[in-house]
Amino acid sequence: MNPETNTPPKETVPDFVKLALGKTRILLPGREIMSIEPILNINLTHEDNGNFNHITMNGTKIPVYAFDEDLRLVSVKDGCHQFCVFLDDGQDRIGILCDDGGKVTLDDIKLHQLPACMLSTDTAVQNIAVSNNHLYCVSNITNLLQLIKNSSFD
Amino acid sequence: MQDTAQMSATTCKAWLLPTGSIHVAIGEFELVHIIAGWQRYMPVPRSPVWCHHVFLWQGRLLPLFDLETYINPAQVKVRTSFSNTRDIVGVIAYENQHREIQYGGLKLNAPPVIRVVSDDEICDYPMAYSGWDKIALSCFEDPDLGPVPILDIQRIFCAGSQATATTTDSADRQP
Repeated sequence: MNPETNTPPKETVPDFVKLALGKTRILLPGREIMSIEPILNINLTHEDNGNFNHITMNGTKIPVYAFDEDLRLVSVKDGCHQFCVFLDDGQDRIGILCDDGGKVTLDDIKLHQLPACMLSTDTAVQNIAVSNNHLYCVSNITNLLQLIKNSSFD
Repeated sequence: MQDTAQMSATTCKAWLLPTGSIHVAIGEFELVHIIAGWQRYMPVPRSPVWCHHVFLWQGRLLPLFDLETYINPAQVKVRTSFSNTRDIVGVIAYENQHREIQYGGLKLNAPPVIRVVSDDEICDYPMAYSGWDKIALSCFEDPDLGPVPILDIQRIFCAGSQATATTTDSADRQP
């Protein structure tokens, strides 16, 4: 409670969630994050006809994927990941396994377009965020789904 | 008087840039800054192997172009981690399709030197790489270095120049 205004404090809405995939750090919009779960708390089921896993949440299957640090789709291996970040943009829901994941609020953030000579059809990174002289790759569920669609498993 | 005579209509100054196994050249006013020493470069996943890192320069986000890797992409393993390299980087200015001044970084392995280039030094591109006509404007013969392609900076840093844009997965599709 704020003693001066006598109003409850506003809930802080995180700007982004930061995923760690090996040495790569990816920012995802906070508004697309459904939850971040320790891998021990979720029950992954392997799809017989595919290389991805899923969990069942409220009767709905949510596909769960794993990437290496160059955002190549890889098979899920036990013990390789610590967290699963679930994304939902209102249309699609997916889970991304990662080594670490947490909400971050970045100060004085500026989003840059990826330089033209670095664009390709199969990158999920469309922007680079700069905050306090630190650089972050920025993606979202739409770009990740497009990458998954275009990817093959290594 | 001799200097003035040398700067006739058939000569101009160019920077010689050592980019690895080969020297290339750019115009005198295209090189705007030389970064030598510690610099942090961030990898961008699935971006082309020859342009896989970005860095900050005077508040701008610049791509780091590695010409040696562009010419020999199959021989290179992508570094996916942040790198704090001691390489020298030349910051290069160019005009994009909208005639706006843009900047890019070119990885060098030694400091650039400037020299006068004459029209009568024109020669064929080096034989070792067959794609020079896609990324260079011309070529001149240096008595010490051999053929030195003059880079077309706009084609290197603008999207249209790499219609077959490839990523870390597909270096073999490089033009």
